This record gives sequence, C-alpha cells and structure tokens, in this order.
Amino acid sequence: MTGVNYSKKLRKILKNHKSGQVLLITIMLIGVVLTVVLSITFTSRTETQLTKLEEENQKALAAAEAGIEAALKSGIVGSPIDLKTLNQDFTGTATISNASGTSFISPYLADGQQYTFYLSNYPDFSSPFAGNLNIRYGSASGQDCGTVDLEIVIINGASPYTRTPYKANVSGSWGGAGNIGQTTSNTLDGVNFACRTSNFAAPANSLFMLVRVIGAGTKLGFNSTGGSFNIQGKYVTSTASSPTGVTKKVQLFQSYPQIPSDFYVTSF
Amino acid sequence: MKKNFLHIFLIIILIALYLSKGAYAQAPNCGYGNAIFDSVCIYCQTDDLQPNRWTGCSSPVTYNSFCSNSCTYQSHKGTCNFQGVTSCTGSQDACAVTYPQCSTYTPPGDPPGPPATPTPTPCVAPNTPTFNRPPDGVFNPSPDGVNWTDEARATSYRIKVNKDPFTTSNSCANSDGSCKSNSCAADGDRCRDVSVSELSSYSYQDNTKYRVTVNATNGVCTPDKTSGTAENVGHACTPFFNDPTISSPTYNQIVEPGSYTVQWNTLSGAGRYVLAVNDITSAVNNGTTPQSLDCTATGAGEQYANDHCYLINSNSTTGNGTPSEKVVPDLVHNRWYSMKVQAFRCDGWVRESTKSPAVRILACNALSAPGTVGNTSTTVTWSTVSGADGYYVTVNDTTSNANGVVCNSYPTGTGNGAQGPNDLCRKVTGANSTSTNFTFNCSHTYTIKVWAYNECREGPKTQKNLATNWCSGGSSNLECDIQNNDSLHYQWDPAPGTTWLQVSESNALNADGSFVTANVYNDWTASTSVVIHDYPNGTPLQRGIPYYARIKRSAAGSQWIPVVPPPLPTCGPIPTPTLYPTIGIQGYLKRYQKSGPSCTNITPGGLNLSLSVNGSPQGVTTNCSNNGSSYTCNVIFNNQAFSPTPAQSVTLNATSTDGYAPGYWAGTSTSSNSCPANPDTGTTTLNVNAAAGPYDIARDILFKTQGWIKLRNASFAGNSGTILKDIPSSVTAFDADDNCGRFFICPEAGLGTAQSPIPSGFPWSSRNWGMAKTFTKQLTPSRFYDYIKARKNYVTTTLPNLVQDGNGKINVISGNITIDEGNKQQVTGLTLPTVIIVVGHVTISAGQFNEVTDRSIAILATGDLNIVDNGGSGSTQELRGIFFGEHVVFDSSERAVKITGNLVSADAMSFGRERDELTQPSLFIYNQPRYFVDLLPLLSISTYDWRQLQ
Repeated sequence: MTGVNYSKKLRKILKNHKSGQVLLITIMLIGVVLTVVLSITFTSRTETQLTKLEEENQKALAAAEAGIEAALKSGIVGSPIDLKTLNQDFTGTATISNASGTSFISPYLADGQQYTFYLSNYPDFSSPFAGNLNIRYGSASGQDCGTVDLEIVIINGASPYTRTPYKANVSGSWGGAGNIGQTTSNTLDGVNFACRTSNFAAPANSLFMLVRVIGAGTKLGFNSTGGSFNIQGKYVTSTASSPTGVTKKVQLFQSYPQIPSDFYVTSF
Repeated sequence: MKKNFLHIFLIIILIALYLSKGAYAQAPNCGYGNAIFDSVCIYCQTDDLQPNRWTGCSSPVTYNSFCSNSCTYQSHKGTCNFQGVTSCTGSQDACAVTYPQCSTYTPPGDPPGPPATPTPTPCVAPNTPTFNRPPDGVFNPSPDGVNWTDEARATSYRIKVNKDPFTTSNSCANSDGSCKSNSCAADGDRCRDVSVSELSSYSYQDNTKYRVTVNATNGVCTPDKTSGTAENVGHACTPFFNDPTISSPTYNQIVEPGSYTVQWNTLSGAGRYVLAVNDITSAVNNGTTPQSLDCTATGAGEQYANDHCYLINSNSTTGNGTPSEKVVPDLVHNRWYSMKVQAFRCDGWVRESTKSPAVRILACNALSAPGTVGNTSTTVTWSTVSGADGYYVTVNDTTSNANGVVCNSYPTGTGNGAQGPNDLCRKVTGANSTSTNFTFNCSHTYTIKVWAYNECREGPKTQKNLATNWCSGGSSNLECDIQNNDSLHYQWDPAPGTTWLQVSESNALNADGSFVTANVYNDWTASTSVVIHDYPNGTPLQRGIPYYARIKRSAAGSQWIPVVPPPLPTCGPIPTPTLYPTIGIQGYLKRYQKSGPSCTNITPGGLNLSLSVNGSPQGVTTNCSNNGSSYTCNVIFNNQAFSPTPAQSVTLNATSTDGYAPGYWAGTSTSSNSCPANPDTGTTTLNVNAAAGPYDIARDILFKTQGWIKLRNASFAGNSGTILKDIPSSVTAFDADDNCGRFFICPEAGLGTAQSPIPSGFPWSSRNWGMAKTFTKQLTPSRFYDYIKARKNYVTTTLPNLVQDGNGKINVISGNITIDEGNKQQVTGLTLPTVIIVVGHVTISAGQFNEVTDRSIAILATGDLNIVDNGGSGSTQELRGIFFGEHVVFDSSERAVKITGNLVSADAMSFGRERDELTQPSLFIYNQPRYFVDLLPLLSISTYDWRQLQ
C-alpha cells in the first residue's frame, strides 16, 4: 500500500464519519422538536378537556337549578318534571316531595330567630302529632350548651288556642325552673348537635311549635320517638345529566309558613 | 407425485363426507310424527300413540295407559326429530318414553294414515315468583326496594305493596285488582305493572308492616297466562346496631342491700328493656357459673323468691324515650345476684337485641370508717361502726419498720400476726369492741389503722399518725394580747404531743392543778395559736377583768403534763370601747309626676319603711318612722354588748298600699315640689360607716312609680333603650283577663329580655325566665314590606276601598292614615283575616277598635304607630289585632290601654299613659295566638334551604 492510497482512504473514512455525526445530530434535533410539540399538544388537549368538563359541570348545575324552578312552579308533589322539556341537552327529573318522617333538620337560625315546626297538618291542622319528641341544638362547630338556649312555645287546643312554653337553658342563665335541655352530643340525619332537650310529649291537639334560638345561631334537629312528624314543607330534588355523563343533583327545602319571632314576641 | 397423492387424499375426504352425509340422512324418520332410535320411542303427538302400532313391547301400549304412566314427557317443536326435543308439561303434548323392549314400529295398514300436522306452540303460564325482599316476618327497612325471583316466560309482573293498616285496601289498586296508575304513590301503597322483577324505588318506614303480592304474566300468550300470586307479610323494623351492656353495677361489685339503680347503655331505638335479676347465691357457693334468668314479656314483673324480672317501657315502640336504668329493690344482705338486660323495639316488640353479658354483684351491708382512732400508751382505741361484726387493727412502728406493716395473719384476742418488729396485726371480734392492747414506745412514730368488717365486706380504714415523743417534758412560751378590743389572742411554741389550752376568769387552782371555776375555755385543736371571742357556750368574754391561761400537752392517753407551770400568765382586761352614736337618715317622700321626670311631694297611704344592714352584723339595729310626707330612719350601733363591724351598706325597703313602690334614695333632699338631685340614679342602698359617725344623712325617698305595663301569655324582647316601669308593691287586676299578681308577664310566660333587668327586683313572671339581652330586629314593617313585594301577592288600595279590594289579602296603603271612631268601620268591616301595611304613619284614636267584630287584622306601619286617646268615655281604650310599628307612640293621658293580639315596636316605645289608679297597669297586652293562626298564610315568611347533593 502506498502513502497516497492510504491518505485517500483516510479522507474517505473521515468523510463518512462526518456524515454520520450530522445524521445523528439531525435525528436528535427532530426528537427534541417532536417531544416539545407533543408535550404542548398533550397539555393543551388536557386543559381543553378540563375546561370542557368544568363547563359541563356548570351547565349541568344550571339545568338542575332550572328543574327546581320548574318544579316549584308546578307545585305538584310526586309528579316528576322531565328536564328534557326544559333543555334538550340534558336528561333528568325534578321532583317535589313532602318533608316528613321521624326526624327533621331545620335551616340555620340566627340568634333570636324562631322556627315554626308543625305538629299537625297544614293548613287545616288535622291529624295532630301525638308522640314524644326531642329537639337537638348547638350545631355550630365548637358550640356548647352554655351559650345557646331554646325557648319553645307550643300552640294547641281550640281557638283562641292555648300557649305552653318550655325552655332549654342548660346554663341556668335565665333563672327560674323548668329546664328541659341537657348536654348530650349526638348526631341526627348527619348533623352533629352538642345539646338536646329531654323527650317531651306535645300537648293534645297541638298546632305548631315556635322554637326561638337564644344566645347563638344553630340548626335545629327535631326527632320523634313515636311515629312520623307531620309534613313541614316540600323538598324539590332535581338531577340533571349531560350527554357526556356529568350529573348534578340539587335539593331545595321550602318550609311551610313561618311566624317570625319579630312578629310574635311582644317587643317595645 | 405429491400432487397425485394430494388429489387422492381430497377424493378420500370427499367420499368420507358423502358417506357421512348419507349416514346422517339415514337417521330414523318420524313416520306419522314418531321415530325410533335405539330403544327410545319418540311420539310427536298423542294421536299417534295408537295401540297395535308397536311390536316387541313387553306390555301393551295404549293411549290411556301411556298417559297415565310416570314417564318423562318431552315436547318437541316442529317436526319430530331428536335434536328438537324439549321438556313438556302436558299430556296433550308429544312425549318420549323409554321402552327398552320396543324395537320396531309397524306402520298402520293402507292407507298409512294422515300426515302429522304441526303441533301449535304451547303457551304456558310462568311459575309463581318468590319474594326475595321483603321477607315474611321482621326485616330491616334498609336497603330500600322490593324484588322477587325472575321467572321464565314472564313478560310482566304485577307488584302490590300495601302498608299497614291492612284493613284499608291498597290505595293504588282498583277493585278488580288492576293498578290505578303506575305513578300512584299513596303513602306506603303501590301498585305497579313492571317488566323487571323489582320495585327499586320503594322505601320502607321503620316500625311498619307491609303486605306485598306479586304475580307473573306471560303476555306472549293469547290470552295472557298468569301465574299464581305470591304474598309476603313483613314487619319493617330497624335492628339494633349495638348490644346492651350493664354499666352499673360492675362485675363482682359489692352494693348495699335494699335498692340499687341498675344502669345500662341506651340503645338507639329501644322502646323496651327487660332486666332480669337472678339470686345466684347458692350457685356462687357451689362454685358453679351463675345461672341466667330468661325473662319474657309475659313473665315481666314476676318475682321468684329473690329473683326479679322487669319491663322498662316507653310510650313508644321506637325511640329513646325509655330510661336506661331501673331501681332494683329488695336486694338482701349477703346474697349474690346476676343480672342481664335485653332491648326490644317496634310493635309487638318484634325486634330484640342480644342479651347483655351477665353482671354478678353481692349485696352487703355498708360499713363506714371508724369516726375516731385514738390511743393511750398501752391501747389502741376507736369508735364503733354500725353493722360491723368486728374490727381489724394494724399498728406500724415506722421508726423501726419504715416499709409498712406486713400482716401474716390477723389473730383474734391477744395474738400478733405482724411480720415486722414492734408492729401489730389483729382482728378484734364483737360489734361493740372499741380497743385492743398494744404498748407504744414513748419516742417512736406510728401509723395506726382501724377498719370494720362484717361477713361479706371490709369497711374503709381510719388512720392515725402518732408521734409518741413523751419520754421527756418540755416548755412552751405562752403569750397573750388583746385583739380588736374584743378578743384574746394566745400564742405558744410548738409542744410535743397534743396541746391543750385552758383559759379561765380566775387563777384559783385545784390541788391537781386544774382550774377551780367551771367557766373555762378549752381548746385542744390549735397547735400554736388561737383567738378567743367568747366561751364555747356562746357567753361573750367580759370586759374589764384579767384572764388566766395554762397549756398542757398529752403524754399518753389521759396523762397530761403541764408545760406552763404557775404563776399563770394573765391577759386583759379587754377595754370597754366608746359608744358609737346613732346615724340618722331623713328626708321627704316624693314621686315622679304622671308625665315626665318631674316630682311632687306625696303622702303615701299604708307606707311601710324598713332598712336592712348588709350581713346583719351583731350590734347594729335600725328603725324608721313615717311622718306623713317625710321620714326618719336610724342606724344604731351598740358596741357595749357586741363588737359591731362598720356597716357599709344599708338597703331601703319602701312600699305603700296605694301603689307607690318601690322607693329609692335620691341624691339630696328638698322640701319643695321638685325632684331632688339625681333622681334617675336613685338607689335602695346607702353606705354608712360606724367609725365615721355620728352624723345625719339627708336623702329624699323617691317613688318612681309611673304608668306601668303588664303582659299576658307572652314572651318579651325589650329593645335597646326600653325602660321598664316599676310595678307597685300592691297591684290590682286590669280586668278579668289579667289573671296573675305582681308580675310583668302573666302565665303562660316565656322568656323576658331587656337591656337591663327589671329595676325593682320583682320577678319577670311566675316562671321568672329573664335575662339582660337585646336582639336586633330582622323583620321590621319596612323589611316585611320589601319581602311581600318580592315573595307574596298583595293589593294596593286605600283605606276607603280596603273592604272592597283587600278582604282576606295583604294590602298596601301608601301615605299616612288615621283610624278614628268615624272611619274605623272601613277596617273592622273586613270579614276575612287581613294584613294592612301602611307605608307611612298610622294613628289610631278610636276608643274601641275591633272589639265587637274581633276580626283577625294586622296593621303594620313603616313609620310611627300612634295610639292616641280620643278623649272618649270610659277609663280604658281597647284595641284588638296585631299592631307593629317602626316606632310606637302612646300619647300622654290618664286613659289605660288594653291590646288583645300583640304589640311590637321596632325600637324603644314612647309611652305616656299613666292611669290615676296606679295599682292597675296602664297598658295591658294580651298576646293571643288566634290572630297569628288565622293570619298564618299572610303574616308569615318561608324559609329555604338549598343543598347540592352531587
């Protein structure tokens, strides 16, 4: 082998090596570009999907609330309203049912407000409740029976009616006797209460019970120990599902007429 | 060659297929609808089963005999072949029966008979379903739903659910048994025609019986074929989720004979408990397991010897009304008892809990600790204990054995079971025993313990720690000084053993060193000092004489060693103090005038004045005299017989029978018809100080009595700024509706609240539920007006058009209105409960409003609600209805007002009424629920509670 031939071969070899390096770098660049493009595409697609899902959630919730409105307008208990008649894009029903049973949780009541709990059928005051019951209170977190009390007034008998007061005043801050409250933490229908009254029987032919919250706001839990309570109002339950399967269920409780404490309690 | 071989192979395969097809085609035929295969005879229809068409059968084959055979019937569909055979149910269907002897079939003669006609597809009723849920009997209401077995051929089911009482028919079913509507939901009743074997949306109510029926229908048939009806009668009753456990007494607890309150954990939903108490004394003595007593409801209340069985019932079959405790009486001393408890609920007590684990107790007389434990140098003594059979005594010489006494035994009599030196362990028998012998070292320390026992328990121990340090004598420096000019104060150094101080009026001693006089003060509890005010019998120490004292210490038992030898130290005499003079308080009697805080001098009738001194100290007395329009009171300090402490607070109690009460001390005194200084801050207490006397204090007594207010059947919420008027000490009823005495609220009174308590100290009501508190009004007339505009139907009208436009409605009248005698008919002419909201001021000047027709009317004013005396006849003005104003104003007048219904002012009311007869209220509000009930749809709001469940 001569020196000239050797030199040519060497250049050829070097030339081939350079071509390989270029190819390798080109492939790597393409890989990097592809990775970046695919990542951006994936992220964008995921975000788009999440946005669509959130939009579906909002639409489904709006459809369910529309069902509530429609059911309230119809006012018919037990006759479901097909949500498709309101919005072709959603399926589901809105149904009105009576609020009754052996237990009942009131909406939240602020200090001084009262709840009208019916002990007979409204509005004709037939079928008076004849069992024993107790009232749970102190639902706020950390609430104790020394800071929240109840004044309970039962209206019963024939017109002009009789008034029978009770008090749940564990701390004794009101003075006087007759406390029926006690410190007994308990749960009713999933709501935790710090206090309850002892069981007591509603007087004969009771119409309703006015329960006034004193000291701090709370929900009230009414628990029957003998038979179901009379109807307290209406539950409107509406469920809406989108074509993609997003489902929202909402419930509205509408009470029977409430006598505000500001009207009933003599004040000047 | 390979190709040739392949061709040959394919030909072979084709031939084989052809042959196999031919063999298949040669399967037995069904001549006239029957076929023969091996030894099985297949009949396509019973008409083919004619006699004499078979040979080789071991027995005659006839139509009748065949159908009466107990063969396995099988039907087929279509033509008779082996592949199509399925099960059959009727004798009219074709059958297959095994006749091993039948080998050939001979067709009938010529003609062979008609060809077989296709058998119609049989239409069969489904089998009667069986309920999976609810079951017969007691079951858990949860989960919801009714379901039953899915039956073949069933195209629909008719499910009926009938909630107890069963005496009434199913509200959702017609009389012919069909369902009224598939949407019918009448409480617990349902009737549905469904295509699936469940009624998934049905919810059971606790403690309720249900009767359910279901049948299945094959709707393919014409007419439909329906199965029999399945029926279950179940009782939904929630089971107990936890078990009862007796919490008190505990296992092996010793209780006192007689009654014991057994307690256990309350089980949610339990309406009855059965507690069994079993006398197991013999079982315990025999060492066997205590027997349990199984109580049943019918056995409740029975008592077998010393056994007991109790029912503890509530008024309800469910719920927690039943107390989880029972007093068990008649527990006998020294007997063992075992007890268990079980809970029940629902009608008929169909649901029962598991029985609690048995708790074993012993009834045994209680023993108390000996009241005292003492000693002499050679004995241990104690006081007896009721119910004891004897006593245990231990003595630990802690000087010799600091680790405490260890008793190997408790020997009776004189033995000693103690392990350590100089210790004692002994059992002293006899209920009346009070001592046992033991010789104490004179300079050791001891721990003595004595406790009683009887046949089934030991009582608590009484311990005495003793330091005998009496081997040698000692001395104490006894000193005395006069304290507070009325007491002797003695101090001495600590002495070993028990010290005994004696103080005498005389220093004469008996031969044994004791005082001669019987009037001796003794104290053996103080260790280093004592203050003497008087003798133990209550006789005060005398002033002006010296007192003598001595102190001794105990040696052992009754041996006393004088540590302060004569001459005895003297103390005193106690000096006689200077007499404090009387402090006089005097002034005039005044009252507020009827309107406004101006004053006038008065001469109250039946005036009663008295003073009380805080703490009622000895030596302080008071007296008061009424001089018509003035008074004099004295606070007298007698420090000759007593040592009165300075009186810091004297309280006045001033009442009169003509309505003037209570009285307050004003800041100063004046004889003119004007208020003394600071009348509104008058108080019933006055500070006097004996050390500051003598002096006179000038204070007028001011009766703040004004026109006062009384409520009936009400709760009261005073607004910020509300001033509640005093109620006179003597009151007269407003009228027959005023049915209680001197209370702010008559029965049935609720809670009374105000910014500050009622000032004169009388109770809010007979219940006296009251507190200092004010509430912020959430719903004033203005806000209710806003509410009804958004939420309720209302009409806009005027007062003249009210009856025509707004009878039985919520009316809104814009502008101020006045209701007087001339136009009140425009309101009282309403015949239905009506609400009138006036956007403006309302003035009611009618003397009597709505008192005849007594309509249920509510008048709300977004401005002032003025109640004005029109000067008409009669001493009272009467309004009926519910009256609510942003600001309520009563004008100044002597005419009293009665409101039947309710009165509410959104802020502090202005009240100028003050009747001449002050013993009667000037305003009487009779809160009557009737108005609220009648106006409920109008004078009310609704509350809403929104929740997102999913």
